[in-house]
Amino acid sequence: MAVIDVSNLQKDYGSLQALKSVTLQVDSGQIYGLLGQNGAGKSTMIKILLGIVRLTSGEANLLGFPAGTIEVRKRVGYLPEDHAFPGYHTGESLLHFYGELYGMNRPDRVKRIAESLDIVGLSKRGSSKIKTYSKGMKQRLGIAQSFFHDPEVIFLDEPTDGVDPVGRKEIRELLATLKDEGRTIFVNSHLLQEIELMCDRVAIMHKGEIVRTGTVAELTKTVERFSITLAPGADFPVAEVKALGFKVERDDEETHVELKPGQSIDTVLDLLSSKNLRLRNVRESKQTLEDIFMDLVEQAERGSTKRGVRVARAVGARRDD
Amino acid sequence: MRTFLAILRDSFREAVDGFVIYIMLILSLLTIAFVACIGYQPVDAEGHLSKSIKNFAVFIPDKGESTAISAVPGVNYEATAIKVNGKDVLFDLEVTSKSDFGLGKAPAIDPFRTAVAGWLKKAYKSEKRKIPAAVLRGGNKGNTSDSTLRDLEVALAPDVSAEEAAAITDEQMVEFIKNQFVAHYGCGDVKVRRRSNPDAGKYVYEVEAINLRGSRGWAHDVSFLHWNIITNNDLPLGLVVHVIEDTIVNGIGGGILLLISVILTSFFIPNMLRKGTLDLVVSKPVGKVQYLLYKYLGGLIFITLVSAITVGGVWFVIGIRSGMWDPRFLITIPALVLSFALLYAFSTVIAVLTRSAIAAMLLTIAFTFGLWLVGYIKKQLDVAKVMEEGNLDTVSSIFDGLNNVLPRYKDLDKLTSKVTSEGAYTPILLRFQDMLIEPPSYVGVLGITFLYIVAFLGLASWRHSTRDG
Ligand SMILES: Nc1ncnc2c1ncn2[C@@H]1O[C@H](COP(=O)(O)OP(=O)(O)OP(=O)(O)O)[C@@H](O)[C@H]1O
Ligand SMILES: [Mg+2]
Repeated sequence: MAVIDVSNLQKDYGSLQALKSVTLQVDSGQIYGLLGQNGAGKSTMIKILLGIVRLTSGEANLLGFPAGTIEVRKRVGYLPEDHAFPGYHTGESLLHFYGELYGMNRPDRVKRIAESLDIVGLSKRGSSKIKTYSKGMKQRLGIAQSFFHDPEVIFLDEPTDGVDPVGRKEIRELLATLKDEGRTIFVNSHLLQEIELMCDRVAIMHKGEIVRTGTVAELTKTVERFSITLAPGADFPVAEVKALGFKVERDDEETHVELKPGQSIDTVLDLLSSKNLRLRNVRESKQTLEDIFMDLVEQAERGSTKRGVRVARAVGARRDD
Repeated sequence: MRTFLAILRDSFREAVDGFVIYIMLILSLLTIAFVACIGYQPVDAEGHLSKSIKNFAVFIPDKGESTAISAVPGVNYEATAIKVNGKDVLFDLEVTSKSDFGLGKAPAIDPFRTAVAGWLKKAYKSEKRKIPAAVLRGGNKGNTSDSTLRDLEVALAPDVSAEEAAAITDEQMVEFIKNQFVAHYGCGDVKVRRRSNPDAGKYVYEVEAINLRGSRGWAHDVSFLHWNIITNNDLPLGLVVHVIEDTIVNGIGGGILLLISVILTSFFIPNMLRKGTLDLVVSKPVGKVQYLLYKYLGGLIFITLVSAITVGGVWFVIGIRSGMWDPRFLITIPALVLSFALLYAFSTVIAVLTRSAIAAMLLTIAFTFGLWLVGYIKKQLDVAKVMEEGNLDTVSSIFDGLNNVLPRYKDLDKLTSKVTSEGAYTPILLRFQDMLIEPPSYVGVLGITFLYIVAFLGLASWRHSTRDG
C-alpha cells in the first residue's frame, strides 16, 4: 500500500498556483526525495499532507487517511523548514511537551527522549534552554523531535540545513537506520547531492508539477554516454559512427557518443581500431542527478525566461555549501 | 485533557521565562505588603457607643430582611453604665418610648412596641416613590421635575394597630434589639436581658455585646505602620476596609494587574503563530483551533493564578489586621479574570489578524482605555443629568447607547464593588448605598461581556483555521 498517495493535487495561494496537478505515490519503507528549485512547491506539498495548509482541489492521502486527520498525525513525524523552537524550552522539556501532545506516557517519554537526544548527539545539552543552541544543534533537535515518538512516516524539510559536513553524514546514517526500522522517510531538498546520496527514489518538482520520478539509478542512468579523445591529429569518423546508428556530438577536444538501448560502445571502439585510430581517453560520462535536474529545468524553461535556468544553476552550485 | 494540560504547562513555561512575571509577582507582593501595613484600631466605647446607639431608631422592617429602612418617631436609645472588656462591651440600653417625644408624629400607642411590631411585619408596606436625586445627594438645586426623580424604595410608617402593638412580647422586643446590633454594627453575638421595668415608657436592657468594638459597624482609627492616618472619626470599619478593597485592590491594583497582563500575554499568540513555530505544533495531533483556544485558556489560567495570589493575599492580611474575613471580597478574583478574558480575547483577534505582538498590545490597551472612557463619561453625564447642568440629552443618550452595546467593562467594576460592599458594610449602610447607587444588571453586564468574548474568539478561530500556514 502506498504510504503517501497524492493525485491531481492543486494548491492556490490566492492567484498563485503553488501546486498545479501533482500525482505521486510513495511506498512504505523507503527514503523518498523530493527535489526542486526554491518555490517549486515542495514544502507546500508536505504541509498539505500534514494538514497545516488546506488543499484547493485533488486528493492527498496519508497512511490511507485523508491528509491532515488528527489521528494520522500521531503516526507521523515532521521537521519543518525554518523551524523556530520556542526558546523558553530546553531540548528535553520541548520533547516532553511534544510527547504529551502525541499522547505518550511519562516513562515512554523519558526513555525515548534520552535515546533520541543521544542519537542526534545532544544528550549533553538536553537540559539547556533552546535559545542557547547553535543553528546546527537546533537542526539536530528538530530531527530528534521528528522521530522520537516512533512514527511510521517521517517528513523532513531540508534536514541538513545548517548542519556541518560531519553532521550531514551522521544524519544520512541516521536516516538509513530509521529506514531499516521499517519507516518511510520523505525528504525535501534542493541539495541534489544529498538526495542522490540518501534517497531510494526521487521525484523532481518544477513550478508546482512533478516532472520526473524514479530511482536515483534510473534517473541517472537514462542515457549511456561516452566521451572519446583520440590521439592528436586523428580525425573522428563521425559520419561512419552515425551510420552505425549512434548519436554523436563533438566539441573542441572530445567526441560524445550516446548509446541507444541494445547498443554497445564496443562497436564504436572496434571501428576505431579497425581504422587504426589511436585512443587517448575513453570515459563513461554517467549523468549526475544534477545534470538530469538541469536538463529537466532547461527543458521546462525552454522558450520562457532564461532567468529560471540561472537560478537552477545557482541552486545546483550550492550543493557543497 | 492531557493535551490541554500539556499546552497549559507550555504557556506557563513561556510566561515565567521572561522577567515580566517577576515584576508581576513583585507588584502582587508589594500590594499585599502595603495592605498589611494598614492597621485598624477601634475607637473608645464611651463616646462612640453613646453616639451610634441613637441610630437604633432606624430599623429594617421584615425582621431585617426588607430592602427598605424605616423609623418610628418617639423612641430614644441611650447607653449607660458602659464597661469595656477588650472588644466586648457591657452596658445598659435604655429605651425611652414616649408618644410625645421626638420630632415626627409619634404613634399614640407605645412607639417602641409599634416599632417592634412594624419590624416584625412580613409584608411590610414599602413602595417606590419618586425622590429628587439631587436631594439625596445633599444638593439643594434639585427641583421636582420628573426627569430628576429617581425610583427609591421607601418604607412607609408602619401600619400597626393598637392590638398588634399591645401583643408584642418581651421576647420579641429582645429579638428586635439583638437584630439592631446586626443591622447597625454587624455584631451577631449579643446577650440581651430585660431589667425589671423601673417606670412606664422606659425599657432597660442589660446588654453584653461580644466583639462589638471589632465589628464592621464600629468606628475605627486607621494607621499605616505606626503613623496614625485617620483618628477620632465615625468611619465604620467595614467602610474603611471596603475603600481599601475597592480602590486599592480592585481599582488601582486591578488596573495595573490587567495592564501588565495584557502586555505579558500579548506576546503569547503572536509567538505561537510565528512561521516555523506554528508548523511544529500544528503537525502534532492537535487541532489548529483547539491549540489557539487552549493557548488562550492558558493565558487566562495564568492570570487567574496571579489575581488569586494577589486578592487572596490581600484578603488574608485584611482578615488578620481587621478581623473581617468575609469571603465576598474574593469575588474580585473572577471579576478580574472576566475583565482580562475580554481583553485577552480582543488581543487574540488582533494577534491572529496581524501576527504582531506590538499591534496586539497597543490596540488592546487602546481598547481598554476606550471602554473605560465610555464608562467614565457616562458616569459624569449621569451626575450632570442629576444636577441638571445644561441640556445633555443627546450626548447622554449617545453614551448610554454606547455603554449598552459595548462590553460592560466599567459596569463589571460596579457590580464587583457592590458584591464586595455586601461583604463589608452593615445591613443599614447597604440599604443607604442601594438608595444612592443604581447597580447595573447582572444579566446585561455578564451576558454582553460573554457575548463579546465568544465573538472575539470565534472570529480569531475562524481566521486562524482558514489561514494557510
Ligand atoms: N502561506 C503562503 N502564502 C502565499 N504564498 C505562499 C505561501 N507559502 C508558500 N507560498 C508560495 O508557494 C510557492 C511554493 O512554495 P513552497 O514553500 O512550497 O516552495 P519550496 O519548494 O518549499 O521552496 P524552498 O526550496 O525555497 O523551500 C512559492 O511561490 C511561495 O511563494
Ligand atoms: Mg520549502
